[in-house]
Amino acid sequence: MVIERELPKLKARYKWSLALLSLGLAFMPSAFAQDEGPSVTLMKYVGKAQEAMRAGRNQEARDEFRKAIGLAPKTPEYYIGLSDACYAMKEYDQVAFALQKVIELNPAMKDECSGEYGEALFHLGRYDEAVPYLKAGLKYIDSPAAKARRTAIASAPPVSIPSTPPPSVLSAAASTQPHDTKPIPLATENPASAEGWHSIATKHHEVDINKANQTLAGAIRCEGIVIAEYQGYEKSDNINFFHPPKAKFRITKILKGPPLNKDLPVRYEFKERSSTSGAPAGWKFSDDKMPAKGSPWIIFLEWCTPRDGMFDTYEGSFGRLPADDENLNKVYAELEKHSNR
Amino acid sequence: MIFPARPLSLGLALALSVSTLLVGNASYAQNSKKVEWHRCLISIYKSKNQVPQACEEYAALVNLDPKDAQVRFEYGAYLHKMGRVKDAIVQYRKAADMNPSNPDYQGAVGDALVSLKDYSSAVAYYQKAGPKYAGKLSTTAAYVQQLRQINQYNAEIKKRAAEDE
Repeated sequence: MVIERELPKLKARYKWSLALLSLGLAFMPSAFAQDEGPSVTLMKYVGKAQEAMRAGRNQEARDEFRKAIGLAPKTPEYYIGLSDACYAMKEYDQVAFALQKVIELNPAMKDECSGEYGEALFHLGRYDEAVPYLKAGLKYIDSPAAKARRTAIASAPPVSIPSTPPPSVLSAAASTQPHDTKPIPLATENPASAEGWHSIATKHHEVDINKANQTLAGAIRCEGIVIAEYQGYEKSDNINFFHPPKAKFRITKILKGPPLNKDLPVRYEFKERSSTSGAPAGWKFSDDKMPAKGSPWIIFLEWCTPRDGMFDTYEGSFGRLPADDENLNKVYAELEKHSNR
Repeated sequence: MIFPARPLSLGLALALSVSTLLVGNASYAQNSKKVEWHRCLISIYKSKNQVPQACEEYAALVNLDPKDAQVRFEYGAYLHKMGRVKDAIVQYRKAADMNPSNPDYQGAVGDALVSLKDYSSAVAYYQKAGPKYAGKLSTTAAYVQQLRQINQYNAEIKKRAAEDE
């Protein structure tokens, strides 16, 4: 009965708040002026949050708004979104927090947020604080300013925030990307040189961001790590660089993760997944591309569930290491480090 | 880094087509917000025993939707509890008139009338309330009957006394 009464209220509230958020996003500069700029990630979070709110997945919406706030902590619109998501879940402490931030960041919105803020304070038992806000909210809601605001919201684009930024934003962002790909100069050890102090402080080393995950410390976070013997592969006419064969391994020891069947079918990738380069020139599959039968391997399984009947290794070929003493030592050392002792 | 404002022309036609709907929903949402906030204030004033302020909020709530029988019933119940029985009856009666099939509304008028010792009127409302108030109906009806008999007896005595004189 209560739910029946509350449902239309909540639906109406959602449409209202989504429209408010759309308006905020429509005038993007107000949302980003204080922060570094609308990153693709930020837009993704906001898009996801809106989608989640529309679908009634409030918890997800709350989490996405929190992520967006993490990236743009001075954008009041995201706090409004957070407060709406939390309101639907009756998390009034969060509503109060979010609206307090809105008022702090944009004091001009104080009247607009008063009612909801007062309501949240009321639910938190802070009666004395709640009364003036509730009264202010009631006073504001019938004011010409509120009517003007509602008219503006009603005429703003109401829905569909793209999950990827509009081309104008992308092109603007692209124009700000550094085109100068000149590497950081080598240290000259001479503070008086053109490179100045920076050249001494920074040693030149190029970091390939695509390969940032390709470390043992990253691999150790896989769901499963096993030692397994290579036993062969399933022959097929269709094996090539980007269509790897199904290699059969037999698990001899599980170093980490849930118990698995001893027979381990592995997608035997020939490339490191983050590598952007294509197949090497003249590459052709043959038996010599596969390991020796019976050879032991350390296999990092990103997830302990197969995909198309095969387990994926961490970062493609990076997730297979010959199980020699040196590698085993390294892996055991990393496992020790991550054992939370 | 400042980005140009996103043009609103995109989707404007769609916006215009749905704006009517949105405004309709907005006014509903706006009203439901007001109701919620008035209710918050009522709870606060009640907890602090600030009767005039609570009544003021109830009155505002009634004004928001004069056809809401439940609000009138709650307002009446609060007035009744605070001893303002006549005012309570006004609200109860309006609630009962709006929703005659609700036994609680009818029964509440009956209870308030009993507080004012208007038993025969109360019986009428208890009758409308139905089985839920059957106990109160029979008690009140019996009491009304007794009162009638007492009155008849008193009238008889007065008549005889007058004849003796």
